[in-house]
Amino acid sequence: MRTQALALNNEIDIIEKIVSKSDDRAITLFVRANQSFVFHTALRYLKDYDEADDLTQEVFIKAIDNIAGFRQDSSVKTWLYRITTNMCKNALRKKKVVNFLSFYKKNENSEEEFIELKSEELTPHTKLEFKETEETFLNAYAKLPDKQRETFALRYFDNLTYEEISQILGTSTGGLKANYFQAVKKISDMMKQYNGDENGR
Amino acid sequence: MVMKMEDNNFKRMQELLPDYVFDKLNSEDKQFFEDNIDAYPELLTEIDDIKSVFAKFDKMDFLDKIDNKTRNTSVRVLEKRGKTKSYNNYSSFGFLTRFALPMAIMITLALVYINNNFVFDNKAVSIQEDVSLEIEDNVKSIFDSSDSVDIISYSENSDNNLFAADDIEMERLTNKYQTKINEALDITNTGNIDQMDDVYYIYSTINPVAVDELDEINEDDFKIIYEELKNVKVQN
Repeated sequence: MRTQALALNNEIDIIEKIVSKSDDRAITLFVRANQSFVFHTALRYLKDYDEADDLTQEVFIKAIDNIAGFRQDSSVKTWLYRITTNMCKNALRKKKVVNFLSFYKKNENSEEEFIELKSEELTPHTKLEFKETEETFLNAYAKLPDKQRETFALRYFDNLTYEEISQILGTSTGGLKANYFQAVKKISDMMKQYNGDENGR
Repeated sequence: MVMKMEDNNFKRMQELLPDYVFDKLNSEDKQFFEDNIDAYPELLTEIDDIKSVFAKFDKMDFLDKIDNKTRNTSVRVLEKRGKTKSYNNYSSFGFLTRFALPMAIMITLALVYINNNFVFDNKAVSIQEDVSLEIEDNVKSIFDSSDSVDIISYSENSDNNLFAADDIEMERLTNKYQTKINEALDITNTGNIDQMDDVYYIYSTINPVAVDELDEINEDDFKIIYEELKNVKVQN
């Protein structure tokens, strides 16, 4: 708790420096402290690494330009989360229109984009195994209900406290804990099932 | 009551389970969980399943690879902000240099051109006062000095002299008179003397007395005078 309080104080100092001096160093610290969180959120909505990367930059530009209006009645992450989700929803809406107008056809050769793994250190077998694990995880993750998916991501990937998640999602901490348990259990069951099917072949 | 307590306990154990597996519980909750887990063997199985699945996942450094994408985000944000700021400054400066200034210059040039090349009505009537007085003196002297200064008799003169005065004096005055008439004509900007109104203005300026005399001239005589005026030569 004390560590969190210290972190919060530091973040407020950083914000004050950005507001008063538009200090590049303060901006850098602010972005680094929150970039993973914003990127993960964008990735969950956009499901594309490059688009999520671009949108992350836009989120920070918007946040920094409007940081004087940040009233500190919510946490910084809550504020950034709202900006990110709003921009993601706008981007998805635009994409729908563009796709509709341009008769967009998904490249038949494209599959879900997978992250490049450490290719020099892994055997081909391990690489394949990792790729399959990742695919299974993403499929399981995508099948979760929205609230459970968001709770899982914010807790597991972004390490937010239940109080912070409660502020973001507007759910009680007890409800969040239940959601988190259900999400973890479902992912585990689905992946176990996939592994079981693989072993049964 | 006991059942409800057990239900609550079980529920609490479930809520703590993921954080226990991922080692995110505080010491107090961790102690509670470990003290009570033996009472719930189904939860023990869950713990093992979750651990094995997520251990494989952690080996992939999945999060590190995702986070690599955001490695340079702060640099790119600063660059983009810098470009946006300079574009905004440029655009306001650009508007001034690309539109406002050239427009102002063009409007100024247009006004100067109009001012120099177009004469408005009130200019046609006016004539320089000193020229007017000189012409009046000259012509008055002609009218006053000679009996033969007779506009009617002008029509009988085929030498293109406007006035039947002393030849030499006439020549001198006529030359001067022609020049002044031409100057007056230039000022009216008519370019020719086809305009009867311009003749009237010239005469009225040169000699107000002559105006009265002009009014007494009949139309045919006036036409003759008018035709003769056409032959007035510009002196170089």
